[in-house]
Amino acid sequence: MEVIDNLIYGFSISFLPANLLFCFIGVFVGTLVGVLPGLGPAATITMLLPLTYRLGSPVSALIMLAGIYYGAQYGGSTTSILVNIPGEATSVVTCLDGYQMAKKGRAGPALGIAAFGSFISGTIAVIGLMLVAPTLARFALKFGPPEYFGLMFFTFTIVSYIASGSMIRAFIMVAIGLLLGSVGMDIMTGRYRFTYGILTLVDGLGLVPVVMGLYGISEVLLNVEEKIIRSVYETKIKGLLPNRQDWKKSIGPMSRGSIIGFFLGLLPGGGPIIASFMSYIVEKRISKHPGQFGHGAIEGVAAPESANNSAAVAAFIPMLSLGIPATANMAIMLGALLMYGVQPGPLLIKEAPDIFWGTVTSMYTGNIILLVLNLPLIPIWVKVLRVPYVILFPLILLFCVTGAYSINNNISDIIVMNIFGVVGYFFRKFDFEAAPLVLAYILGPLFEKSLRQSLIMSDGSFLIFLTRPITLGFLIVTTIVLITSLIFKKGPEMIFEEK
Amino acid sequence: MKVRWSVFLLLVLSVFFCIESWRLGLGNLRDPGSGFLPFGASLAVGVLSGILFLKERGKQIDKSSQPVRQAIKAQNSILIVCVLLIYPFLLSKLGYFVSTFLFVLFCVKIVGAQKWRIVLLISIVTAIIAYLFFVVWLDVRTPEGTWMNHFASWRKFLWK
Repeated sequence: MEVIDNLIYGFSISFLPANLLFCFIGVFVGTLVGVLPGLGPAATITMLLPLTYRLGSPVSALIMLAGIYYGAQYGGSTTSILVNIPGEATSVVTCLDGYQMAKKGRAGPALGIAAFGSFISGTIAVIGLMLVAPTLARFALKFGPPEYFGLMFFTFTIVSYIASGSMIRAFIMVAIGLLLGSVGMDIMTGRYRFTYGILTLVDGLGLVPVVMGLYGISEVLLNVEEKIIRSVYETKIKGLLPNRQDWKKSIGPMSRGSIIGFFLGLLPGGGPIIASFMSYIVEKRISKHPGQFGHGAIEGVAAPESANNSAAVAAFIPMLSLGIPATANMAIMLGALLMYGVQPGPLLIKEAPDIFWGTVTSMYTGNIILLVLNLPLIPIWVKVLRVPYVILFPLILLFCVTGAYSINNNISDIIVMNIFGVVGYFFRKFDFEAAPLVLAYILGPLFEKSLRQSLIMSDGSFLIFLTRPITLGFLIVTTIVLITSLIFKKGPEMIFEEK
Repeated sequence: MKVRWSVFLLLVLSVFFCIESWRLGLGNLRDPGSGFLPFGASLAVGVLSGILFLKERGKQIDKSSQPVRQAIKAQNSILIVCVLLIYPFLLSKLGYFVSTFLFVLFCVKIVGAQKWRIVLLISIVTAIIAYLFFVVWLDVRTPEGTWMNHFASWRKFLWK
């Protein structure tokens, strides 16, 4: 009964005309960035973050940013199917069968099943989010500093384990992220750290300039080095509605994909990428005709597209209920809420129910908008794919520089962004992934506070982390992951090999 | 080569932040100081870089990392970085509209190598749209530009 009351309350917020508009803008922009290779949701969310300040309300801002995030999962499939280039990393696996279907003249059903699969799984995951998040938040009320320290340590380890490339590189990025997070005033002593008299650094390094630089600018710098040629598969897109046979084949993969995606989305570092690969592998394993996979099997589109959407929605659960983001995108979302003065965590649902229930119910609306929007607009997305990069990249840069400036009307923020753009470019060149750094940079202050408070509580003894059951649980799992990484190959590498 | 360079830079970063954190004061375990976590993090960067070097040395022989080819490929990004570095200066001197116009003009010309007519058209249209979107609609307080202010006062003077 309480859930229904909360739902009605949530819908009363998300159905406000302004919030409906921002939801629409969010999913529209999200689909657009999903379609465009070379511009991910992380960069877009950060680019639009300064603009959300003008919205005035954190609920509207979160509704829009969430729309961008799950909208991008939808859009990514279009390029995978039509161009064989994934718009997002989450749609890499969709290329395998989606493009083959397009080559056989079945681009319509492939796009259709991707959209329906995303819609169904998105809706299932929102129901899961609605049920799981409040329970998890109640459980998290038992958390003190040692538990939070254990959870964050566990998160950093899992994210490093999942990250592409070596785990050592990912750990280095975590450590650098913690260093960056410590710039500015020490929250416990009030002392300034690493500011060197620079006024811009007094409040710490700004989230927007850092993330925009690492994702937006560095992405452009890499892309301008290569000549990007996109050849859209010339086929008439007709019959977007899948036939009965397609539905019969897809309903199982969609359901399994939704469940796999939901649970992997909850795990730190899991997220939509792993979920899409995992669901594809599961479908191939249990299929009676595994040989058809990779040659245009509709199950190979339905499963990963459902899984990535489900995981994208599920990733909101740890962020909203624990205040601990599972992925870099969620870390940026958390940073956005902090900038608004909203502290995500166990008390969010109680103290700011409008934000929680408003955002959750907006996802139902967003999923319906996406379904209605995506199918008729596919020809337009195909045209968008033909926009030359030479026109696109100055616009991306312009959004970044103006966005960075508009946060504090401070030119120094542009300089900070440029520096991180160059740093991010070299990170990519040297095969260092930015996601662990962003996560550690955003969680850094909380991580440090938890560590220092725990040590003060225990009178300097590290044993406090072993005597508290929840913390001990996190540390045991972390140790198992570390040992596993030494013995076996890393998770994603195994998945790629399987593919 | 790639690994050696990255490890070298990381070690420099590690040593620098270790010293700076030490200066901030590490405190003790009962009452950790401001430099406690940064020191640990910088130490971790150093140790992990060392392990990375030992693990991956001599591993990469990548043909695409030939210096000449890389220099050609990197030319565009270096030029874009230069434009990005000049932009804040231009913004403070010329104001939003003119600096944005010049910014887009250089970006498109450098990478696109299009005809001047097309480049000018793209730049003007983009600058107008950006101005209307950010300054007029979203009310972003952009700098007016000190040079533009001088220009405006001269124009007023001449007009009189």
